[in-house]
Amino acid sequence: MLVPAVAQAIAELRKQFGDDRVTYDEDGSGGAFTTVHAIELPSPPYNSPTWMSFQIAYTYPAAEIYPVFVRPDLRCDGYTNNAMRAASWRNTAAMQLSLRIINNKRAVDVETAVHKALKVIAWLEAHR
Amino acid sequence: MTAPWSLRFDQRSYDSLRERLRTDAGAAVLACTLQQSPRANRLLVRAVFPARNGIEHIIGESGRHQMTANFVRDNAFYCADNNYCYVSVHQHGGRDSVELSEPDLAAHERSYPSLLQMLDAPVGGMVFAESAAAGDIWLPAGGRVALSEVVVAGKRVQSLRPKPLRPGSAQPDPTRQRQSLLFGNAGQQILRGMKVGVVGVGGVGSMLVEYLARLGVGHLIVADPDRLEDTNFSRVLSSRVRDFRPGFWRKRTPKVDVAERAARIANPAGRFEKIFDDFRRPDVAKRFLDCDYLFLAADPMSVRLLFNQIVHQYLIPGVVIGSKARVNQRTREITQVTTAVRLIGPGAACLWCNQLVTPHLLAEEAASPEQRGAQRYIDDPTVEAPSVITLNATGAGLASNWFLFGVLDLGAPDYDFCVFDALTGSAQEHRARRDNSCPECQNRLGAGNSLPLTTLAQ
Repeated sequence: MLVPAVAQAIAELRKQFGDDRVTYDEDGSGGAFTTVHAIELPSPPYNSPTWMSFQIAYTYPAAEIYPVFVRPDLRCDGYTNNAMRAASWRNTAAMQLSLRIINNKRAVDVETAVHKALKVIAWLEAHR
Repeated sequence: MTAPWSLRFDQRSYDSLRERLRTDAGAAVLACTLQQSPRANRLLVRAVFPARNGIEHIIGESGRHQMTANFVRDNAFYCADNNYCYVSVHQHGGRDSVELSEPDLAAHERSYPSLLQMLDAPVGGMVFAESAAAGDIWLPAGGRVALSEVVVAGKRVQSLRPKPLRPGSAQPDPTRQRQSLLFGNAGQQILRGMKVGVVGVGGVGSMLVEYLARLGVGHLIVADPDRLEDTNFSRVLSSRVRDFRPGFWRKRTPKVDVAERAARIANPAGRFEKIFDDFRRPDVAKRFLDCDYLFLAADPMSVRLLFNQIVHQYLIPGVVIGSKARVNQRTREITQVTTAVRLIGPGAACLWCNQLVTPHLLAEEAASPEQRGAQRYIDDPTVEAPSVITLNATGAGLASNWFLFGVLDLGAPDYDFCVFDALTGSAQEHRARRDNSCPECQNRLGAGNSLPLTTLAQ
């Protein structure tokens, strides 16, 4: 069972991206492992579309959305940097996008799941 | 017997109101949330609206001072729209005792029936003297109750009553005679009437329980989901070897059971509530909302978040105690041995403002152990850190003293945080940072049940 804040976040993601493009699994504490599917990115340099996954903890919105995972072969050219590295997400190969480099906000600011997802997409588009 | 009615302020709102009543405001309206339990009915001050002399506070047709009809109406609508209780307040003369006058009560008779219809929430009037307060609260279901006290939940917890508290008629407890020499039988009576919560009864928490019980705190409530392990034995008071060596029919002892053992020895007449469960569960957190004081002796960020919310939302003073010891794994050099004690006050010192709870740390904590390992977090909460009873005693002792002197209004430090360095023997005092737009301490201040707490799913 999701806590109300997490349910609200998923509802907002579905409103932004479409009901059929946002799925989730409960994490057992009231939060959710959430995936936004079929995100179109410029190609090249990206293999498009990608999925984007993250955990929305039950302590959201106090807890930030971090880290964010996308398809493991995100870049056609295999490029990585400090913000992007190979990782594993729920026993699936993925590429981890590091919040600390993408988002340089003050540590105690809070943001919504929709804001985070859009921010990651904007960053990827800006950093081809 | 129904639970007593009281009204609670945070220190800043109270000081501001008293200053306004002394200077340019003849009265004020308090918008309050209501928190009820079998033990207490508490009006929690959420907002204060001063009525300025000559503007919203005028001389009426009767020749007596009164708030203007527009001011009353506007604030009544505000309370009704937000499901708040409406309490008016003004100042009388005098020092240690006060009562509502006949004209005050007559004014209540005239106006409160219609206000009750508007709000469907308690409506009342209150008067201050210099060190006293009295109130008349009208209830939606009918009936009126008197306020037993007005509590200012600051570092020094002030209790304003219609008359000074008289020591009870019971014989003084000879087992507490030495401490009564410090704060008298009246102080002992205050401790006996208190409900104090301790979140986490490991090393530090077990000491807090021992100290509070021996002080004679009448009602302790503790929560901890863990059973004692061998690694706890050197730090948890009253623990025994058989507590962590399970038998064929016996599991390791819950830490709350060990705490209960200590409390019943130290204060056989006291009430001890033990919860062998996670404080973050909503049904557990709910049982702490009518406490008079709270201690946090647990590490998780999400517990800190919830604790901080309860302090500010329900106007309950709190103390957070934590110890940290670091050893360089390669060189075995001790790099840090500190204990930190933090007074968390309603509307004042806040764990969120001071980045002791952060969005990143909360997200990090929520990750699975496998994910944390994959992400190579530096401060992995599953990795054990050094912990020593003597360091815990420093923190627990300081916290307990702040509690004792604070709740008996004997004194308080002029700082908010103290960090003791065991390697150097020095203590650093800090004032807490305060963010006027903080989503926790400011947004939740006095909100009571009107805002949800961040708890685990049901």
